[in-house]
Amino acid sequence: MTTIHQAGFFGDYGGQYIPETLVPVLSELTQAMDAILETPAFQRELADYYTHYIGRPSPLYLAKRLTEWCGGAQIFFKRDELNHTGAHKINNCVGQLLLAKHMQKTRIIAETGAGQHGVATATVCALFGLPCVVYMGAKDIERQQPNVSRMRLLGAEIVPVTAGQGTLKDAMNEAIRDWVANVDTTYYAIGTAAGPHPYPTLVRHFQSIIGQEVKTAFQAQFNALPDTLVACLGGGSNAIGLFAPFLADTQVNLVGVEPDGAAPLAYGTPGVLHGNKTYLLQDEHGQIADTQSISAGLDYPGIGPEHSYLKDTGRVTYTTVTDAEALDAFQRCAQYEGIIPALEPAHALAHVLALAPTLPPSHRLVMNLCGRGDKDLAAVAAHLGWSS
Amino acid sequence: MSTRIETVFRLQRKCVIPFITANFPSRDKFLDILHQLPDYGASMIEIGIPFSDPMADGPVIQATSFQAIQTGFSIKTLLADIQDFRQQHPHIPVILMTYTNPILQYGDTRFYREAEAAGVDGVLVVDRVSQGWAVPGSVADIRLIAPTTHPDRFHHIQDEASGFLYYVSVTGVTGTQTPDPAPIAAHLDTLTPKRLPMVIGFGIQSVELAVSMAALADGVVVGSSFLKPLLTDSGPTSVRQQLQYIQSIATAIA
Repeated sequence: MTTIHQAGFFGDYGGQYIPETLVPVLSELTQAMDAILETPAFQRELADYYTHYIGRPSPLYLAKRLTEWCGGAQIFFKRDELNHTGAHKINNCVGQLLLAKHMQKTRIIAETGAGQHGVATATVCALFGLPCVVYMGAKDIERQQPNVSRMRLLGAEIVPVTAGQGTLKDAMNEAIRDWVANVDTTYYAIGTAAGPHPYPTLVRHFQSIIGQEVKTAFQAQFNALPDTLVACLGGGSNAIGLFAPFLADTQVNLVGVEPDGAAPLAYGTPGVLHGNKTYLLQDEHGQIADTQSISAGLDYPGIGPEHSYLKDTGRVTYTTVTDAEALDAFQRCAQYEGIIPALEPAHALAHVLALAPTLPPSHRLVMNLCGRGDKDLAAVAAHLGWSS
Repeated sequence: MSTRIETVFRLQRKCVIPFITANFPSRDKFLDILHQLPDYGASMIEIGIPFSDPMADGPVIQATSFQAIQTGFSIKTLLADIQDFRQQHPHIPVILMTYTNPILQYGDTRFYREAEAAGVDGVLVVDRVSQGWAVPGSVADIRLIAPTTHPDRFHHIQDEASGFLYYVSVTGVTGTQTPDPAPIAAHLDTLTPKRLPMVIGFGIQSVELAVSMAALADGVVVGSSFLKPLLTDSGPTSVRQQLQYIQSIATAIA
């Protein structure tokens, strides 16, 4: 067991567990990151898209009625559902595809679960005039139809994946296979802070804008840091984006919320999947387990490797929420705040609604509202037994 | 270093290495095929330890892996089966091919120790790039070389590897594309000097292709095209046909 932070490792987690064919392209990507990300020209270009295309900074909103209903901590929402395309995913897509353009890649592929990353990738491909292929599990295509139509309209080719359970894990396998076969021309835009090095670092880099804006807004409004930050976890990109700028501020409590049916940090053990070592849901033989979550975006048996490290070090507390609790929070958010959240952040909210009443009114709690729920209406209506 | 591997490369001009997923189509049929392969000209046998998420494999190996996992595959049983095989076939090398996670969950030290004791000659881990485990001396650490591998990296891999090198004939996954000899030959010319024997695999789907690929190296691995017909028919006639397919490759490249 190595405890030294080698490049691409978070403690013992992360790394590059990949077929030999991908070794050069990952070196190329790492070199491009080092050469380009910190240049003023790239930062100006990215900032311009963040401001004028995505609509950043997203608001920091005090959810008054939910705060009153809970009768405890003040609940703030980081409104990343107001971004163009309706989720935090676009922060990462604009960044990665700018990088892909600098690397002169001519074809973009992506995997998607809930379809938010697929939509964001298809959107930025349309913006940059690049062909886009999105791999999506057959089960997810069924339960996230609105996003499938959006991607088609944006000009993306959608490849249904029927292998395995037909969810995010299987879509990622197929995207990697495409990448291995087309590595010269193709850029793989991974949507979450997982996969082989340098992706976990790259995705964190672009999503950290979420936490930075929270920090700036708190400084301006309260001249203080928030007390607690809460985010949901599928692969963990919105959570790491919120947490990363606060990791050194040890007085800030950080809480990650997994769905109970797909919770590797709660119920898994370390292993290797999709190019990185991390906590996984698996059997004793190392076969990856099936997952079951109402949220397609969280229905994944692994987790970004940095979260595995942050669990082991204790810096972040990880907890779980059931489908029923998430559905309840989904409705309460709509009825108390006039905001329909995606099912993914509804998991974070379910925990917030349980946590806030236990904290004093002076306590400021920020939840990342990382996506809007339009895509989930059909699935939620079916669960609630509403006939159409 | 396995003397069995060295001996095979010394004695045979060109090797044919059939690949079979362990416990595919069932444990009994797998053992039946395994035990017959030496009689059909196999120079070595490569056995795949199935993994649920084989990212470098095409549809055929995915399907055989899925079936094998459904049979309740375990490494422990496979190693016992290899030990039996080894007692009856003392000379033919047995190579295991898999992904990192099944070995990690079994315990890498335990895996290599028990594999060595069972008579396994070499192990190839497809996604092993940052894996730091120590491979004991008598089990060959077989490494992949890809069409994208730069000569500098080739030398680095060759210094770490033992037994032989496995050249991936296509930029892609197993059994999906037809390899083209000309660019492979051109790439291989840049990878010198070679200290280890090299075999070629991925996408070798016919006797003719096996012949043109074998001309570029010391042997060929035949996987998807050997197993594909057995996905739909694993009866004795079909099995015999596939064994004869291996034999015709062995005869054609010898």
